Formats: sequence, structure tokens, C-alpha cells
Amino acid sequence: MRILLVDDSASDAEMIRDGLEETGWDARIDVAWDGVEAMAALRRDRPDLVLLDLNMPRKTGHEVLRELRADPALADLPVVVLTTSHADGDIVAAFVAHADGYVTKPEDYDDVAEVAGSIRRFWERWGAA
Amino acid sequence: MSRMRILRAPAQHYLAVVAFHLHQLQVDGRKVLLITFNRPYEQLKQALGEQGVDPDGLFFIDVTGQDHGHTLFLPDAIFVDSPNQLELVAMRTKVACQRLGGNVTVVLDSMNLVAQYNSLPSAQEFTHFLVNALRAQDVPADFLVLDTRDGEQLAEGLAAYVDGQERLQATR
Repeated sequence: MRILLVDDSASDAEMIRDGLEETGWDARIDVAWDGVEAMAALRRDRPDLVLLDLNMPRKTGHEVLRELRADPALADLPVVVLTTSHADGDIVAAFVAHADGYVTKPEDYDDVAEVAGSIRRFWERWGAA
Repeated sequence: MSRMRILRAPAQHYLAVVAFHLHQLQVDGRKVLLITFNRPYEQLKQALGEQGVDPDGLFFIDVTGQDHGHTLFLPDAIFVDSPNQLELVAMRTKVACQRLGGNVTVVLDSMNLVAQYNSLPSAQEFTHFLVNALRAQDVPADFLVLDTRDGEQLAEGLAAYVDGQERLQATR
């Protein structure tokens, strides 16, 4: 099981990675630091699941989502948007662009377990089918 | 032209009657977008599956106000925090219909709860707004109303916004 975590915030990426590891999930978690890096990583070595931030430099999460859904080799890849944004426009745009899930980021370490648990449940219910 | 109906369902065997209706829609090749104010989508999906509805042909907008924490949508469900957010329900419904493509029928369970959580005028406004939005997308919709005395009054109050009323029968 391989996860590509796409996030330009080192502290957020570390928090989420820690949370996922603490669920006991046997998954390798790689990190891409922006959308451009993410697309290169996805094309080089397709993961099983992508966790995608939206607000990033060079290429946003929305752009990554549209690009990978248009790529036949990546179009069916499970993608969970993982962002601080609760904005309805972001939620709708992610939904229309065929994100598979939308989870808001933990604000601090108190919420990490819940978010990590949500992502793991998402994978167990939907991704592995 | 898309058809908008009020469907009056008997309180007795309500789930079985609704499940039969959804099953018939699926037999007719329709995808079902079920807006639930009634039961959380996971419970409803399981219960309907046990009644013979194909869960793969169901998509939910869950307005039951259950705490989904940080999760805002999943592949087969969108969550709206509160049954009072009717405008948001209508907007999410429009977007979900676009995403599902053609052959979608919207089923809303139930208008009794929409009116209970809000008010009859709010339920009327919501119905009017949603019906117009769905007509523009050529998506038919069935608005479920419990077939009780209160339900009869509610159905009368909504009748002006839809094309007709029918009674669902316990046929299975």
C-alpha cells in the first residue's frame, strides 16, 4: 500500500503522516511538496491513494485533480482532497472534478487521529474495491 | 419534460414501500439520488439493500445532521450539516445530478421532515427552487410524503409546485 501525500506545508504533512502511522496502517507514505512535483511523482510511480491539498504554489490541487482525471493512466486513482478549506466553492469544485473524498485537515494534533481514521476507513471501504 | 411528483407513502411498511419504488426506478434503468432527512445514509443504504435495492445504483445526500467530523463527501454520499440548510441541499443536489450524468431520478425522503425542521413556507420555497433547478437539468424528482392526515395537508400545500400526486402501494 502506497500513499502519495501532496502538501506544501511541511508541518501539516508531518502531522498527517504521523497520524496515519499511528493508526497502525502498513502503508508507505511519500510526500510531494506541490502540484508539479505531485504530477511528476504520479506519472513516475503510480501510488494506491492520493491525499491532495488544494492551496499550493505552482499548481493547485484543483489543477492536479483535473489533470490526473484527464490522464487515462491515472483517471481511476482514488483521490481524497485534504485541505483546510471549508469553502463551498472548493467542495463543489472538488466534487465536480471527481475527487473521491473530501476531508478537512486537522487543526492540531488533537484532531489528527480522527482525520487519519477517516482516511483509513475511506480506503478500507472504497479504495480497495 | 421532467416529471415532478409528490409520492404519498403509507406510514405502515414505509421502508418496504419506498424500497420497492426505488427498485422499480432501478429496473427502469434510473440512477437514484436519494436526499435523506430521515435516516443516516449508511443505515439507509444497508436497510434498502436488504429490501432488494441495488446499493451500487444509489447516491445519497445525507441531511440527517449526523456528525461526520472532517469528512464532507465520499464516493456515494455528500453530507450537509443541518436539515435547516435547504439552499445548500438544493445546490448540492444540482451538482450531484451533473456529476451522475444522465438517467438520474431524485427522491427526497421526506417532505414531512423538511417541513418539520423548517416550516411549511420554507418547505414550499425549497420545493419550488429545487423543482425549477431540476427541470433545467431535465431531472425528474419524487418528493415523498407520509400518507397521514398531516401529510395530506402538506401534500396539498406543495401541490402547486409539482406535476402531480400519486400514492405508493405496498405491493410486495
